[in-house]
Amino acid sequence: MNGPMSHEAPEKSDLDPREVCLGALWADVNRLRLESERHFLVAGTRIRASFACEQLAERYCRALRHLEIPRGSSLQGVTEGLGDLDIVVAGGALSPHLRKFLATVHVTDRINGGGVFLKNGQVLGLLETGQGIRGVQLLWPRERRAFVWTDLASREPLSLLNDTFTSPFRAIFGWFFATQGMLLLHAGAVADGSGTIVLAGRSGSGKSSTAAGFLSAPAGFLGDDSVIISCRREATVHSVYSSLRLSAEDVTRNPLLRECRDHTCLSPSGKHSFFLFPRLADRLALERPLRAFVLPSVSDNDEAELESMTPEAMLCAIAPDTLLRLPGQGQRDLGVLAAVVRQTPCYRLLLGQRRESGAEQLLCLLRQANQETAAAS
Amino acid sequence: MSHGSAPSRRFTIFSAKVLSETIEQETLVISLETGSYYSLRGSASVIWEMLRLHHSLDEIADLCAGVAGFAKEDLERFADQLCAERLLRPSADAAATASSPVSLRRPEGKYTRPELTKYTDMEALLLADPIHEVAL
Repeated sequence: MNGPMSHEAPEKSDLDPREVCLGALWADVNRLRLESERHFLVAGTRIRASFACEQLAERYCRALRHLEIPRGSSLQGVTEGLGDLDIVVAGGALSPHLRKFLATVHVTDRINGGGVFLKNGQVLGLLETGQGIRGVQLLWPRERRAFVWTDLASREPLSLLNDTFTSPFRAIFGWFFATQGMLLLHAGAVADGSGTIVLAGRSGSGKSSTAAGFLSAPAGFLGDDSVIISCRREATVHSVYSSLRLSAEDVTRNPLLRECRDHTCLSPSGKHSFFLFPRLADRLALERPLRAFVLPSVSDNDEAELESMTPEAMLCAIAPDTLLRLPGQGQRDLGVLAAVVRQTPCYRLLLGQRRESGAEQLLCLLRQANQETAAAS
Repeated sequence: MSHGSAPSRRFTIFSAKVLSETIEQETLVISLETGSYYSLRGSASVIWEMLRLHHSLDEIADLCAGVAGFAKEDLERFADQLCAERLLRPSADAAATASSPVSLRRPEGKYTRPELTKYTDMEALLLADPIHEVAL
């Protein structure tokens, strides 16, 4: 395995002690002894994740394994790579420089949920707290490097009350891909062979159960609550995680999921966690052109119904949730999202008591949108 | 023209944590600071665009003077409301001119008083993940 990484430290613009502290932290990261390495292809970017121990690698990479690049394989068949991102993951004792940095930025704000650090208006990092500091994610976008520290390596996490392992590196991905003109959406996505529908909406609106309805179709599932949208040639939706979180009621409707369940990951809302790869690998889609935005909502109807909605209403439904959850480039992210929403058909899906009818409506919508796209081109 | 001796008030976006985007006749404004977001429709959307581009209240009032139902008091109340919500703040340079005269345009269709619709259902999310300015 590689020794200490040999990147040059970021340039220091002044002698602010916190900058010095970050520089020292960077040096700490370079000196880390890294025992395990994985490569992933996420939205056209090769991610190299290096871990201080194999145990961390196993935990962090589970939801990303469907995007793993096996050693020696080519990248044929996927979007051309944009470049690399290096992520270093360490656990255990807090390094003195990291402790010092956190002390300088978080003396007054140490509350339960943690917080996002901004440097001159740009995102620098995320602090995860619970009872004490539980994790830190820092990104140096210009150097295309990130550092993750977690306290979990020192524990046996029988139940994790956060999404660290169902959505690993989510903050880093959100900020990094924003610098590449892409957007990590808090949304699910379902697909057929030719296109995909993004499922927007708040937690509990029916995104996950609707996405789970597509597990019976080959390559029907693209994401549960995080997907990346790129707009290089046409708006394209990229899979990030193969994880899915469902309520107990929805689990009984999906016997296929029985063997994918992870009993160690519980979400705060009591949902069950599933890792669809490798058992349901053939049900996963990696990337598809965007055909529509759909906002599911629970209704008393027997059958699901689709109705058109305005792009303004869709932007209201999807933008605050995405941008407040993970502030990145601010106005630029909102502009990117608005541009995509403007040129994409938007619908409201009133979910029916017969749950399958939601998936049926979406399959019809996809088929129709694919035909229209083919005719137009 | 209704300008008094004091320069008419101009405004600017409160901070980089206030985001806005307009589609058709509706503007979405998000405050990353408070977690609230706002919908501005019709005249409110058009006036927001003019205010954020530093047009003064007098300039907007002059433009809308012939519009049936328009009242300058409503415009001032609306601007004050935007300031109270920390979406806009008075411009430090009140004598400055707007960034572009092209951005000055009348509200189209039937005029209704500018209203700000506020949504606070995401505030809890922000309380869980507060944003801190490191100011390095």
